[in-house]
Amino acid sequence: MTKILFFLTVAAVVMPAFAADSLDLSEVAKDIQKGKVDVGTEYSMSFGTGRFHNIHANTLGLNCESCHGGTEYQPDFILLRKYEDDTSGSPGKVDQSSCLGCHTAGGIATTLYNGRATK
Amino acid sequence: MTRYVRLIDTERCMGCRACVAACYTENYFTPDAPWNVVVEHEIGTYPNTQLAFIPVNCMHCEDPPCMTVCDEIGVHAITKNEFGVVLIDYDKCIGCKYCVAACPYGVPQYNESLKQLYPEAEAATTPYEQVDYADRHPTHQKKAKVVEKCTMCWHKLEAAMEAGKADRIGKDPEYTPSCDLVCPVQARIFGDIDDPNSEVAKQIGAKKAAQIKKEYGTRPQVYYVLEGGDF
Repeated sequence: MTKILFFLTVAAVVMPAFAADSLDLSEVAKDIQKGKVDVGTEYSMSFGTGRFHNIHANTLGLNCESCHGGTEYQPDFILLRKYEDDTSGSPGKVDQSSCLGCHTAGGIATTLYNGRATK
Repeated sequence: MTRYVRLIDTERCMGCRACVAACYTENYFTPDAPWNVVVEHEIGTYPNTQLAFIPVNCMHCEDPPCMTVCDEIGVHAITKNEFGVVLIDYDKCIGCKYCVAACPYGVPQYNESLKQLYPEAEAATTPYEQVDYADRHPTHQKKAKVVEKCTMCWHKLEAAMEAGKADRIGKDPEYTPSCDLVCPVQARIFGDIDDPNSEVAKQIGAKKAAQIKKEYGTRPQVYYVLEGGDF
């Protein structure tokens, strides 16, 4: 029983990482944008109910470390919220550079950055 | 056209945080939701090291990702007015924190609960805090569980417009953001970058000031002279 629980725990941690590699993220992103994937209706960061983590973690399969890269920022990182404590349960700080790949103009997700190129 | 910008010269900034304190009082600071912070870090290699102080407030980007994401989900709580000031409508904000996640400068602040400046002393409200809620400027009618951020002291800029004194913005104390006013070493300058004769336009050119985190393409309206090079 203990071995089964251990296996399930490891699988829960490891599988999303493999899932992110094996999914065609652009196709999933299109499906989300077309409303073909149910990601909920609640615009919030809440894990489990909010769309944000439903899209990025549950549907696209990004593991926590993909965004929450570490517990501290680099010493020369310029960010107004730099000295804030992580909220309860947060697995670490977020550097928005991890958003650039998908959310820049020409990326697979909603364009948030470098959008002027497409205007 | 008028575009208000700020120059922050980190070679002059000594980290006194007068700008932070000025913002606290001017803008009804609530703990846990600061609009202006001084980020510091060590630069150089031992033994030739020193502290760098980098004041950070809203960049009032020309392409603000906070506004883009807010519009994208149909909330439309964030706007950018004709003078380049990015503002949040507390009545429209749903507190989803999408703007918090999108801003590469960490600017939007989710205000969990309204607190007074000195929460440990219930009777010790500041003169600003004694102004009736209804009499405050809309940007100061703060609410719990919504997002807020630096407004470039829009209440002052708006007053200048209404008084027909837009030309005094960045010059007269009542029409200039408080953080820029109080700097004892003139590390902060505010004004119209589209006026080639303005002090801010001259200094941005002369000091080769730059926007930070340009890789995001947000085109901030805050320019920095950065000690230790570009970041």
